[in-house]
Amino acid sequence: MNAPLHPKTAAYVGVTIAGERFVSRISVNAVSSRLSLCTHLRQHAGELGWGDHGTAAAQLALAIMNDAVGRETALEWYHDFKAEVVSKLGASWVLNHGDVVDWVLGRSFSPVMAKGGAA
Amino acid sequence: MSTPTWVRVTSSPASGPASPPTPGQAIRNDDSRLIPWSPGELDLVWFLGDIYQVQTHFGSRNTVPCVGDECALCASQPPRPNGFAAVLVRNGQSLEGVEVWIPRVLRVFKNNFGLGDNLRGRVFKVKKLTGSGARSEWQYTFSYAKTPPVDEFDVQAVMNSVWFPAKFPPVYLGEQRVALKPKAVAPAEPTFAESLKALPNEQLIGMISSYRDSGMNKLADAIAAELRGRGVTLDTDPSPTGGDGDGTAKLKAGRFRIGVYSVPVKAGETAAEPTNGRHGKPAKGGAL
Repeated sequence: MNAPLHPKTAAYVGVTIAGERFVSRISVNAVSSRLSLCTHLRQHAGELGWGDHGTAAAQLALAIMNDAVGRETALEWYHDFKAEVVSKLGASWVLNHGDVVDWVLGRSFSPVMAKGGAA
Repeated sequence: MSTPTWVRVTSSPASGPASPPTPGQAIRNDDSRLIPWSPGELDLVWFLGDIYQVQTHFGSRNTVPCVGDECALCASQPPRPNGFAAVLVRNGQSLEGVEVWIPRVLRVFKNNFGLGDNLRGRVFKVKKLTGSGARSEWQYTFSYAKTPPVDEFDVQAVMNSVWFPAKFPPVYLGEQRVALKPKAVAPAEPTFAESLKALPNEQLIGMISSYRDSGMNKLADAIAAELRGRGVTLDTDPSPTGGDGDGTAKLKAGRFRIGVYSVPVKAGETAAEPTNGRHGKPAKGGAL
C-alpha cells in the first residue's frame, strides 16, 4: 500500500452550512485544510458530494482515499468506498483517517493477514 | 519618408483555412511570436480585430518596416511579411475576483495567418511549444467566442508610432484594463471549530474519547470546547470504581466510529477466514 500523502491527517469532515457543502482535512493539530478534488486522477464531477451514488460522491470517495492511502489503492477501491461509505453519509459527518485505512485493510489485506494468523 | 503598406489578412486559400476553428481545435503555428514575449505572462488572447500584415526586415536589433522603393534594406535582405493584431491579453493574475484584460499588439508571423479573418471576439489559448525569438513555435487553441467589451484600436497607428516616432504620435495603451466580469467567489472553507458546530453532541462525545485514545489531544480539546459551549458537561476522568452506571466508563469505551459503515466481513465468514476481493476476484495475496 502507498504511504499516506498526509500522514498527520486525523480525520475528514463534511458539513453542510447554509446549503453549501464543505469537506476538510483535519490535522492532528486541529487545523483544517481543503481536500483536493483529485480531478487529475479521474474526473467524475467538479465538486465533492455525499449521501447518494452520484458523480460527486465518487469524486469524494476518490479524494478521501487518495489522501488517506495513496493513489494506486485509491483508484482500485474508491468505487466500493463510495458505495459502502460515501453514499450513506448524512448531512454532516466525520471519517477518521484510521477508519479509512482500516476499511482498506479489511478489503485488500485481511485475507493475507488471516491466512498468516491461522498458520 | 514613405510609410509601409498595410493589408488586412483574410482567410483566402493562400493564407489559411477558410473555415473558422472550432472549440478545442489546435492550430499549430510554427513561426509566430507574441508581444510581450514572455509566454509565462499570457494564457488567453482575445482578438479585437483581424490581423494586418506588412512587409518587414530584420534591422540591427528589431523588426523594421519595408518602406518600398525607398527601402535601403531591400538590397541586403528580402522583405518578410509580419502580421499585427489588436488583442486583449488576459493577465494571469486576477484582482479581487475580476479578470483583467490588457490591450496588446499581437505579433503574427506568416504561418499564423491561418487563423484567418473575422477574428474579432475569438479567444485563443496560446502556448509556446519550442524555440525562442523568431524561431519559436506557438500553438493557438480556439477557446470560445464572445463580444469584446472594447472597440478595436488602430494597430497601424500603434506600430507607426513605434517605427516612426518623429512622425506619428504615441498611442497610449499601457494602463488600460478591462474588467470582464466578477468571478464567483467561493465561500470560505469553515475552520475545524466551525465544522464541529454542524455535528451532533453524541458524535462529538465519541470523537473526544477516540482522539484521546489516539493521543490527538488538541483535537479532543477543540471538540470538548465546542461541547462546553453547548452547555454539555464533560467529565472524562474515570471514576475510582468504574462501572457502567456513571456514564464515565461508557464514554471511555465509546471509541468513535462513524455508524454508517464498518470493516466489511461477509456474513458467514470470520476474520480468520480468507475473503475474496470485489467482483469475485481473488483478493491480493489470496493465493498465498
